[in-house]
Amino acid sequence: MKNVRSTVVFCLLAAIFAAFALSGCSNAKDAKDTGGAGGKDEQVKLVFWSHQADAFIKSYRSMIDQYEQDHPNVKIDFQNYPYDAYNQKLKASFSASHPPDIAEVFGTWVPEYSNNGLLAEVPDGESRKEEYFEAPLGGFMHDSKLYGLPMEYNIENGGMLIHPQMFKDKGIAYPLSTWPELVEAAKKLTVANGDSLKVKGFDFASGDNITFTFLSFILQQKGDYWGENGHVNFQTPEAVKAMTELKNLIVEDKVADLTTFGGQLDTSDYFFKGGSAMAYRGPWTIATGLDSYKVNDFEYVPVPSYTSEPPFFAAESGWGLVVSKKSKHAKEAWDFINYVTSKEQLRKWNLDTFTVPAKKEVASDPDFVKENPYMKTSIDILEYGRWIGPIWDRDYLFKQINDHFQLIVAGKITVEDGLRKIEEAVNTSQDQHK
Amino acid sequence: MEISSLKRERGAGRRLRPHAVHRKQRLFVTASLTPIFILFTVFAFVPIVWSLILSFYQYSPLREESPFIGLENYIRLFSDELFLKSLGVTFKFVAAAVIANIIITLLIAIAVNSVRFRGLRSLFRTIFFLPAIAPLAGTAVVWSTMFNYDNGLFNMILAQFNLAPINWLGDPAYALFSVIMMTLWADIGYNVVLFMAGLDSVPDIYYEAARLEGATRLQTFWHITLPLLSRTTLFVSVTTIVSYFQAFPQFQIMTKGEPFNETRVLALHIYDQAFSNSNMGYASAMAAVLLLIILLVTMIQLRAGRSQWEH
Amino acid sequence: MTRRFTWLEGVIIAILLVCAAIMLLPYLWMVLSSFKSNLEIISSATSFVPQNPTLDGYRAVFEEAPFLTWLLNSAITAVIITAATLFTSALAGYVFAKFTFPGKRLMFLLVLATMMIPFQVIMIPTYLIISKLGLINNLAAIIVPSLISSYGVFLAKQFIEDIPRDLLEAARIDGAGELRIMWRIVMPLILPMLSALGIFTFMAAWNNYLWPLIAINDMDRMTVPMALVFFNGAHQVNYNVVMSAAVLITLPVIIVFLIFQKQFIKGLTMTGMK
Repeated sequence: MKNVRSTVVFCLLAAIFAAFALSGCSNAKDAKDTGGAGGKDEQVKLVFWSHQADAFIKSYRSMIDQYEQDHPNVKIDFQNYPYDAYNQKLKASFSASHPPDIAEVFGTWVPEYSNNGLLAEVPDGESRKEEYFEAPLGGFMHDSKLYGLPMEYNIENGGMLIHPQMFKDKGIAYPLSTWPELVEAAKKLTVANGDSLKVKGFDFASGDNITFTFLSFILQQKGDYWGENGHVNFQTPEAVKAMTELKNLIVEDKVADLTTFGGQLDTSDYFFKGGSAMAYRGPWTIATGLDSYKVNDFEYVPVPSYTSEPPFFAAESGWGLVVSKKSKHAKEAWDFINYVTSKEQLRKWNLDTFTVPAKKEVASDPDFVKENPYMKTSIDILEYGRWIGPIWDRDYLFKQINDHFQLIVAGKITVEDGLRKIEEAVNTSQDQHK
Repeated sequence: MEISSLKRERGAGRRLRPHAVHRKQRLFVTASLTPIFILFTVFAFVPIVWSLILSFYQYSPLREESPFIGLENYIRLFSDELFLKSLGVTFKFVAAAVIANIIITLLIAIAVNSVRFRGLRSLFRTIFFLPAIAPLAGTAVVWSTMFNYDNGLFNMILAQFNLAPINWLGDPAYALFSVIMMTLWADIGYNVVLFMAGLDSVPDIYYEAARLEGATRLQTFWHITLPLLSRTTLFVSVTTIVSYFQAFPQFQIMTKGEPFNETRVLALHIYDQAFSNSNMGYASAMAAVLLLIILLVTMIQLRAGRSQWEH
Repeated sequence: MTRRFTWLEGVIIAILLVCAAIMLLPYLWMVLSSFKSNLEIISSATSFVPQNPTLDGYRAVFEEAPFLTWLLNSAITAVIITAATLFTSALAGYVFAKFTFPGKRLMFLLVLATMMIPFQVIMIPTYLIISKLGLINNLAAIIVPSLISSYGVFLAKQFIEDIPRDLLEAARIDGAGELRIMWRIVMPLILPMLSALGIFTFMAAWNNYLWPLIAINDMDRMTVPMALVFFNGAHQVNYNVVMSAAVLITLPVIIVFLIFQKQFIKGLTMTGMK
């Protein structure tokens, strides 16, 4: 009995000591990792974070393997996080002064970091700027300096997934050339099942596309949604018309609904399961269909402009790479980024991930579309894109529009009231982050 | 290290003068309380005070300066529709889940206790308690797939009965209900065990007396079991309410507060504001309100409970 | 023993059996789903039982997930937290129960007050403190804030107060030091309470999700609950992989529970009674 107790005591003390030893060790290990980079042959460990998407991770991995082979002294520690938690983790790591050396960030997130001096400037940014389209660069700029390089031109507009067989069955020709034609086709393609929709004619109700469609409608009417000193303005006649059109797609035309909104799956997932005839989504979702669902009974075709104007749209910068100012290995980090953003690698990456090239020379390369014919629709309209603008809290803007859109559709508030509330909420947030 | 010094003093013990003993005791009190109190200070007192202080600032950890804004965060709270909404959702969730939990667990405990075979009794208890040991986060992940619209378990069951599928987590009418269902499954085990223990502690004499009086089962339950269980019931309801006010993983994993913010409980909203929108000052103000609510509810319960015991 | 009586008992047992089946259903679902193939999950015509069982899910888990590391992280943090909490609670409980010193009442009240604080309230400052200490993304970040427990101190004090003073005095006259008295006399007497507290602390630490979610970044430093959720993010469409991971993680927990079941239940009821 006595022995048992003293053993327990000993274990307790040992455990507590172990705890401190352990924390000491891991601290020591970290300290070693971030130790100064000395000579050529010194081992350098770069911590590289990205979001979780199968195609992205695969492509990054192959580049990392190649790079590590070419640079035996560099070891890249590659970590990925689910999109939902990723920005939070990034913020947390930066505010705890524990950031990764290289981070894959979404362009719209960058201002919050670059404004507070947390990112390293791109070496010779002036000349690098010329290589890219303007829209994807927007988020990475601050005070006309460049703080990161976009890997892709994020675009959720201008193209949609369609099931040609459904069009054939209904005898509808495609591609569609005007907006009213699209709405007509969508009505015919919709298969209702009592109150619920079995097949949605035109599904645009994803977390991103409600907002992007709304903004593109405003731009296509030659309107604008930015007001004075960093405030948004959603009360223009163009905005009211745009929101009314979206509402009608669900309420009047009944070509989509919000039953699956906010669920686990994306509108593209439902599309590939045959839940919609047309799904308005960026070309990145094509990869999901080919890789996860192993289907190829679909096409990616242009979405006509809402007006007779060209199909203008707003774009977030998209995924790109930044280096934290705290990084002890900025030189090696930029070297790796330069490798990743070289034409050859970037071309391969854009092909692998089904993303739209942000670099002009990749986009204009005729071989690119030859290798990935699905991309033609998006490449054709890149010139009509403009940067979404200095939104401080990207997710908040989208959430506000989505929430109020749901209320508008449910008839709980009018379009005008909804827009006013969105504007108030977003501007409060803009002021908070100034 | 102290053990060895104890050994050395052992022989001298009897000759120690009283005030020396006193000094030794004082030393022991100081030596043992100091580290513990430092930990309490750093990880309990300081955070609480700091959190209250933060709620008067517009604070984001990424930024260099954070202006003092007085009561502005609190004023903003009460005009913030989303906050008021989440307050409502929190109360809805706590009320429904706690009441359902207590009724279900009490019934199950009584039923299991009436089983006469010992082995069967403990088998039932084990089965009901099993889900409580799985991490709630893991349970939430598993239940998400069960609620899946296209190929989840529940819609499969509905399909067996030729019923239309339900969008469990995406339909505002069902989302909160679905989370409550999962929450109940995950932790009724605790309260079943507690109630069973409470029932066991009711002396058989009372039941004997009731039987001799010729009372029906229902009367016995109403007049004997329930009053004698009141201590257990109070304990169970206080702990359950306090823990449900802080329910977080199931919401963050299963619904993220959607649809329509119908499942945006306060705990989730505070987390989102603090870590997704970087409004830590504002989030601290919300946390202060949550604290106030929990304190009030607990005080009311304890008051009510005490007056019940008076007779 | 009237007939009606046994009939009623039969009905109650039948109802309980149905309830028990419902309780076990999610486990069954989890296990069965883990043997489904990706294509079967994607095709809308899924059924409860896998049509052509495969081990793809398990293969993917072993290829991608360092889940032994996760289990180890969870075990390390939970064990250390439990051991430390038991020690600090017993020590503080002893001091509060058996000694008088200036400011005792106030101190104890302060400790009690922290018992009611929801974690959401102190989450932000705790995060800031831990990051100031440079412990973010380190197992110590999970351990250090949980080395003490106000609930534990409170429980220990309640139980130690019941120990007769004479017992302690006799030991003191024998010349035993206070620490020795605590180990030799106090601890054995409150062993049942300590084991209950230990079980609770361990479970709370093992299942904690919110704090690790905030404090840990690297996949290989995550604890089980958080790792499972992150894993889920990567495989939302093909949930057989997540289910396989869930099965592999649940198994050891259930085995441990079945071994310690008696203490579990006893501990739970004891704390409820006090």
